[in-house]
Amino acid sequence: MSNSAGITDVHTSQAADVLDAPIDNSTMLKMAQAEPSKVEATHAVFKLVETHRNGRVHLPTEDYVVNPGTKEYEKMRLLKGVQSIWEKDQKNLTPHDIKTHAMSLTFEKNVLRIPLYEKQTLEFLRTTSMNIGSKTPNKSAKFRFYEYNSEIAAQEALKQEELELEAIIAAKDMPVAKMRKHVAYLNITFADDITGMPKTDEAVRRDYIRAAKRNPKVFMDTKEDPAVDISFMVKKVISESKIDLGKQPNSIFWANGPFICKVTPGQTPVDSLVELALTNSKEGREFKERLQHDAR
Amino acid sequence: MPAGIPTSNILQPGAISLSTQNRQLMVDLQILMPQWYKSYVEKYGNEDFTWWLAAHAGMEEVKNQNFFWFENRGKLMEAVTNTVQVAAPAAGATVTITIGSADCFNAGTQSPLRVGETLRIASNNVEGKILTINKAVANAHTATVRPLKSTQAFAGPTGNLEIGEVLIFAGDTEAGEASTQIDPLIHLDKQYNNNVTEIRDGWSNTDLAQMAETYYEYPVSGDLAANGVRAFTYKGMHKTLVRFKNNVEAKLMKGDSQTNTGLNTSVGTQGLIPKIVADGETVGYGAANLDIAKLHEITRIMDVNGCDKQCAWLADIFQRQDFSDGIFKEFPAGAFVWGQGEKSQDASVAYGFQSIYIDEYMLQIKKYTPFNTEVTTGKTPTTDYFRNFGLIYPMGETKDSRTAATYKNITVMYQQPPAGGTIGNGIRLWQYGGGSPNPTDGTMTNQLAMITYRGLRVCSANKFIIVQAN
Repeated sequence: MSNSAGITDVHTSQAADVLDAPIDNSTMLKMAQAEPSKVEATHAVFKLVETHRNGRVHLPTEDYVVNPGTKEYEKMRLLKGVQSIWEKDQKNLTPHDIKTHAMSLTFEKNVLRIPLYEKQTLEFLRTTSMNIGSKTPNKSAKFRFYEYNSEIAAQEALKQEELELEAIIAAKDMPVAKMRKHVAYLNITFADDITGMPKTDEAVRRDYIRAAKRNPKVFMDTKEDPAVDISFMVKKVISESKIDLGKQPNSIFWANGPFICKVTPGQTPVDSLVELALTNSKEGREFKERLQHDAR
Repeated sequence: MPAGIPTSNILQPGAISLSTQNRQLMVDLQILMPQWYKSYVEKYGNEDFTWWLAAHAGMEEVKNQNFFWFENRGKLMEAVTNTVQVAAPAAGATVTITIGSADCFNAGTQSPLRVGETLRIASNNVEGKILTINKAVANAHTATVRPLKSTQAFAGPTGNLEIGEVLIFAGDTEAGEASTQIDPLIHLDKQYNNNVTEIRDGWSNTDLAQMAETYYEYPVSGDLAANGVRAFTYKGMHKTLVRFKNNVEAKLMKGDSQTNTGLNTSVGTQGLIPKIVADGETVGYGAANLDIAKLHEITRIMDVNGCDKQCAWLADIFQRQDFSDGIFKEFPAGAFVWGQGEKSQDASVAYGFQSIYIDEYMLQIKKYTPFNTEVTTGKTPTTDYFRNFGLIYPMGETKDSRTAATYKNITVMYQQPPAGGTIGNGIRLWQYGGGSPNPTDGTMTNQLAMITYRGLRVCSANKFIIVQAN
């Protein structure tokens, strides 16, 4: 083991930290609304919703919420050594008492740990509108946090890993013809980056598996989607100049004249045509029928 | 949360956008200097923080869109936090401590633990020495620690080494006879980046608009009147200028960088408040309850972060009202050694700061009305992000950890625009169009354009504090 700073240490000292991926919103909400975790025997852990803060966040220890007991809108205030968190029950306190017993709750690196014996603090944190899992969360609160549940975090992470594995296996076993249609739908190119030549089936499958790994949810949601076939046919007939995109701005025509549809604002022409083919209107069915004929 | 300030008496809209509708005008912003700041205030008011700072502290020119600097990562003296409880260790017994991701680096593979380090438990000053370390599991490094005294357990006051116990590094003490070298602690630097961004605005009017006499009077300067500019177009040009000034201020204070696709290729710039939100401290308080106890909490935080003794506090209307007369009377400013530039007493008076001296800090407080949407636009949002909002900025300096160059905590950075038109203070103004004194084409419009390239360098953001009610 070296005990001198080396050149790699110099490079490391100037490098940025590699951070863990943030928890997604749905997992956060599941944790927030779940019963408190039983895994952490001594502490409850709370995490800020916004994870981009590197500095500390000092939570205000006053709030106005609906008291679950009285169903009235009341003020709660966390004071050290005072049993109740509800201001109306905090009797016989002088202004000096209130000043000197005010508590501070500080999130360090977005995490706050509270011992389970601090019941008043936990009651405050679980009742305040700043907790997104409370009965009356305030969506526009400046300080938003949730109670971290390690079991749910692990379950969601496992689900994500399993989904990725499933997507990779599906990508590996997809028949070539169906794979190529899905590749086109996912906007993966069919030409090699360097040579510009068409990719072999193996090269296409390599990129297909990478796409499955990168975004397994989108991959699995779309692999059986009827829009994949439609999109492929639309792109085919456009590439064969059977559809004219340039005749009029924001309008699509068949090459031999008839109008098909307008391009929906915010969409590409391909998206608009796919949307039309999937609609159950007369125009949609007619377009789809002709598309299936021309794409053969 | 208090309701906003009623604004139903303010007519909306105050302006409309048209594709077309000239001069003056940039002259005063282009030559803004401390000695003329008073005239600036008479014309534009004294709300603008970044313009005040640029005038009194000067700006720094950058040659590229992106600029960067290095800061020390964290404090010099180390400490770690135990993350797994050790229940009732015996006196003199070796215990295993565990540290988590908060104390690890580089995807959890590196940490400051080193064999031979003496640790002190923060809660009861018990010392122990690290015997072995195990960094095999990312973000869960362990170390065995033996207490220095045979009669003491390496545990906190409860008898356990609790989760959350802070263990302070005390160096290679009790190194022993014929000792060998301990592993060095590699101090980490962090590179920070920001960009200057393009901010522009313009005015355009047709020949007929420029030539038309209107029934109301608006003071048009002599040279413009001689060029045939009438009150309507002059007023439009002036208002455009003020709006441009306000937008520069708002971008540098509240704006953030641009990363989304589907927009233009500009990268934007990270403004002061997003930077403090990311890297500074945030203190919450109950609305209308900013009291002495909270101020003491804030000054404690300032102590921890090594804040400079002179700090500015920009508060919105509501927060400024929370500073009751009682607080100002209780903490009078008294004698104070003022600095230079933006830290001088003259600059402070020019901007309208009111000072209090508390816990050895000179806090210069100013109502910053641009925080309140009611003031700037005449509309009252139900929820306004900057209501009951304030920020504290240390008026100090820091050293670049790579070059040792000294930087102020906030510096307005600018890139010199391309030559052409008139340029001053990094602002370029030019006129074009067939109807302008500089006829460039056959279309009878007078186009007036202004552009500046600005950003902020905010150093030691950990010393900055946002004070915000929920």
